[in-house]
Amino acid sequence: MAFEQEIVALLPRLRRLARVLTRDATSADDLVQIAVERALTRQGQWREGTRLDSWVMRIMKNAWIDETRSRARWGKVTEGEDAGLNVGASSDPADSLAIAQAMAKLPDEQRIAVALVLVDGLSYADAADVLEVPPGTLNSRLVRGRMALMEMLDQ
Amino acid sequence: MSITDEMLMAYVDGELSEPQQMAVDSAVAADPALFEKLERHRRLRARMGGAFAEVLAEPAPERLVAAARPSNVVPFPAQRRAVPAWAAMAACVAIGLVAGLSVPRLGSAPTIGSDLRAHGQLASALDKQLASAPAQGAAVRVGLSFRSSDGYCRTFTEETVAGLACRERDGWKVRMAVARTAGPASDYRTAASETPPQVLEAAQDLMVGEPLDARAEAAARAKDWR
Repeated sequence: MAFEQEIVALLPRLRRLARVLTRDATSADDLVQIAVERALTRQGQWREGTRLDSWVMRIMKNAWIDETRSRARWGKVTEGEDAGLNVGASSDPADSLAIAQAMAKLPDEQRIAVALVLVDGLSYADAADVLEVPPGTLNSRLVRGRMALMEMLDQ
Repeated sequence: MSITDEMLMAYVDGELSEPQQMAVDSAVAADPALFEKLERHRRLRARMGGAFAEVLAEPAPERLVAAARPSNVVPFPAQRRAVPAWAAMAACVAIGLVAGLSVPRLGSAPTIGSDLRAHGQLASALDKQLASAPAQGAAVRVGLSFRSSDGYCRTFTEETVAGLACRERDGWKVRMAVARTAGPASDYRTAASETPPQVLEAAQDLMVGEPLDARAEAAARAKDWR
């Protein structure tokens, strides 16, 4: 499969990850678009035989961090403030909303760790690779994030 | 062997070695409270997986599929840096053809924004586009709207140039423009949606109060930014 076709095949997973990270569907797709564009222009940096999904997610993670920093600096962005949180499954919208709200309260580094392992289903090793942190760091973010989620979700 | 939360999590994530798994299995079998704890971790994992699953079934929007086509990505080097006025002017001439910046007096060692007026696509984007609802696929994208001490200003980005324009009596005046292409050292083209830091800094200097939120922005547009 050609490189760009593989990227297209990754779009659903990238969009889901972005929705966990951002506040609304448009920002999520903006983030995906930045990641895809960067991935294509940096295609030469991807090493054959390594995982493309982890590589693109790493690019997206970095773009998200840049974005989050500039937001923090601005304090406020010109975005619809009443934009709803990203909610997924229609099977149980109330539960999805509760989860999205709880996730939004986690510190960024815990949120992305939880997103990679619990939502995307990556292994610890792959998630640590995406985040460019040692396995122990990933693990402690994951543990803290999940304990906080269980507390908030009262389960 | 005491079983920690961390081990239970790793268990439901399938990250334990076989001996560790067996240790959890036997501890859980002997301890109903621990079993309940394990079930809570299992439930959390299941809920998290389900909560965001819907997007997987949606077809990806065309703009994302298009972004993955190599023909759409020009490998511009995109190291963004402040450029001397003349370089920015040269860039403006380039953008002028595309987006409608007019550059009336090129020979006269201009300072940035001395007499740059927006027209064409740029003027129309500044007039109409809402930063809170960016137009898909537009050549010019408005990033941020805010008030300065003497009226509304907006940042914009285009393929090769980004800048800052303020509304004056007779239209939008470009106060600053920065080339978005430079230097062989960089390896990628930044997304069209990104506003270079020096433009954001200039905006911050001019800004009175906070950037406009979606409602204030729509209201300002309704009054033609006056």
